[in-house]
Amino acid sequence: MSYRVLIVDDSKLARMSVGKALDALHPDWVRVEAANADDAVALLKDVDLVLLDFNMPGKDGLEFAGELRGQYPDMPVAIISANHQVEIINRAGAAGAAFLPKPLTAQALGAFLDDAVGALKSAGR
Amino acid sequence: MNEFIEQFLIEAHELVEQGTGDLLALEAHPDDRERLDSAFRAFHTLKGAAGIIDFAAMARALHVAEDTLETVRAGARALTPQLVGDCLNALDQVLQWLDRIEAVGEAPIDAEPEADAVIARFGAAGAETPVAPAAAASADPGTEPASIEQQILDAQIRMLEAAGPEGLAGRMASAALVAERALLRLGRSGVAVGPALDQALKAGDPAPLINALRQRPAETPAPLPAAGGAHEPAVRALRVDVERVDALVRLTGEITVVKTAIGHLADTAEAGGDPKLLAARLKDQHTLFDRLVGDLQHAVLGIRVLPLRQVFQRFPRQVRELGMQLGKPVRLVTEGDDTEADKAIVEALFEPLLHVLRNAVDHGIEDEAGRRAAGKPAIGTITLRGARQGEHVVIEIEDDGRGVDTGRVRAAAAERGVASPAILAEMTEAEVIDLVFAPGFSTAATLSDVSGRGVGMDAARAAIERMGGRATLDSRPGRGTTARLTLPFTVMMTRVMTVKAGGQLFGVPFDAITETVRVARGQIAAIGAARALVVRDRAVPIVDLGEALGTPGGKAPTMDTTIVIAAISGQLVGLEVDGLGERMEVMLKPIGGLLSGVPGISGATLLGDGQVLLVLDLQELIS
Repeated sequence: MSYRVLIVDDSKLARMSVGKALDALHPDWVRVEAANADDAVALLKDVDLVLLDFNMPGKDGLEFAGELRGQYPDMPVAIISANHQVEIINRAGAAGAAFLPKPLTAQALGAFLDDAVGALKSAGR
Repeated sequence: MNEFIEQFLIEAHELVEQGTGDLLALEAHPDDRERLDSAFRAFHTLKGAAGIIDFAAMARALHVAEDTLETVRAGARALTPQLVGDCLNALDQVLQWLDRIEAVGEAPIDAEPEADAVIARFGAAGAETPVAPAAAASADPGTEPASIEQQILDAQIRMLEAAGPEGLAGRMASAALVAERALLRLGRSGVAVGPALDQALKAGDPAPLINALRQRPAETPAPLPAAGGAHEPAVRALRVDVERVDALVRLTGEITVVKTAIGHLADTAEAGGDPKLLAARLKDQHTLFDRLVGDLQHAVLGIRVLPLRQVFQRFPRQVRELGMQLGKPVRLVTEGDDTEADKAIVEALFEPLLHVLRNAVDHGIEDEAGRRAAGKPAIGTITLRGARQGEHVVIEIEDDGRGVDTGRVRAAAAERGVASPAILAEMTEAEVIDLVFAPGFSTAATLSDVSGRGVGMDAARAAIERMGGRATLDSRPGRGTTARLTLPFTVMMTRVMTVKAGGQLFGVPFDAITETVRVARGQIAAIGAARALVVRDRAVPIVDLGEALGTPGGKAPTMDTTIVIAAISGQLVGLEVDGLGERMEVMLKPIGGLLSGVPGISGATLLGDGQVLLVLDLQELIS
């Protein structure tokens, strides 16, 4: 089963890095990219899961994750951040998003994607 | 260079720019929340980017900066000028790392001591309560890293002294590695750490290693020039537009076609073709070839361009520090920093620009009271502007200060003997303004620590002229001064070796030289009117370079003589010279005026001391 993944990060380098990790795990998945939350909104409707940078100009990742939860309750969302502070991890959890440390490792991403696939399947997608 | 490193360089440069702009704006308006968030994000994203390319030292240094800014964001700490300075210092270090990454294509592995130095500054600031601006102004960033490295070195020595037999070999090896890096940074690469380590490992005793690390340099290496040398970018790799490469490929194809055509014509000539017809067709091919070589020259020079940003980017922090030293609030605005110029020029611009900017802060911008009296904004503005104008790149440094006080310039010039009172009286205002560039004018200009160190506007003009450019000054009394540097877009770099002949210094194209020998005069044999020397079983004709250039004599007859052996159109020729100088890379300017008709000279260049070096055209000289 191939899914569409949306990567949102203002740094192209970071998107490249996430994309590389994703490619290694699921080369058949389609990935779409956006540089900020506003651009991401337009891409949401065909997307199965979202990987969000926490620190972005404009709307930050946590805020955006909260909005996504309201609009697409079943969509798996992960917040990626280099700030491994308990507070952020907790807030990600409160927004219904997973937390992944930056720089992203294949291991951490793989674990999240496995969970996400399970959740998507049980939601019938 | 892989695509990640490439993207890293692009983004990191942007982030440094963003961070620098934010920090400078924050200094003026410490309460600007948006700027603070933006600065924080710049450091944060830079740290993340460093992590992605596995550049741990940079990530570590930026992490500390980011944490510090986070405490400012949380309101736990004030953003003092010192803190702004520490953050800017971190970004400056990042720029230097970026240069190195650009040169070698990967993150440096020896950056830990530099990261330590960046962090140490934050540590020092954090240990105290916010420090007054005056203290920040006197902080000398130049001395700090050295002491850090010495500390690292001392720590290795202490560790080795305390080490027990357990795991000794591993400890010695690791200490040697760390120490070697520290020594390198201290400019003491002469210490033989490797052999000492071998000895210590063999003996199972760290003593030889400790002794080597304790060894003090016999002579303290000259400190790096305050700002110049340390910041010279050493960019060896170049990013080139695909289009430019494609143009080269196309030209190569066209040149190959001409080559084939000429080969065909040669065959026809050999077979006894009609000479008239052949000549006409050969001429056609030559015209075509000529055009292609011209295009090729253009295309090749076009590859070697860099945006002025590369050098402009270094100045916001420099100007800020100058302003702090002199107690004048000043900001730098840059415009047109994506203007491209020859790499050689961009890389040589740092020093002259620094001189001109120093001059602008020191002499152009008024102090706060003066600005208030003149009804100007309290913060002075210097605009650093780049633009392409035809075959030239023009850089302007414009300040909104008081302009050049020609009365004072006249008085100072008379006092310092730059020009006699009679000549000064005859000078127009514009000529007087130009005296600012005169050697000896700026050396003693003021006692301030910033300008007036024998480095000034004369040094800036000399450097610009060495690149084949011009430096002029334009003053609007009471409203400001504009220094204009006009530089050629492209330059030809030539490697030469300087030689002395007929009491004068000349440059010999380095590529032509096959070797230099010192021989007894008796070894040179007279063959008719000519002279020859046997080198590796070949008779090489000897030409006295001084005589050939029409400047003979001036040297005492000696037993030995120095011969430079050069290959000219495949023929070896020995040039007898009075002595050999140094090897250097020069920007060759075609010579005009009186010398333009002199055969055997291909161009001239200005040496660092202002002396003109004539570079020889050997082919023309010998034929």
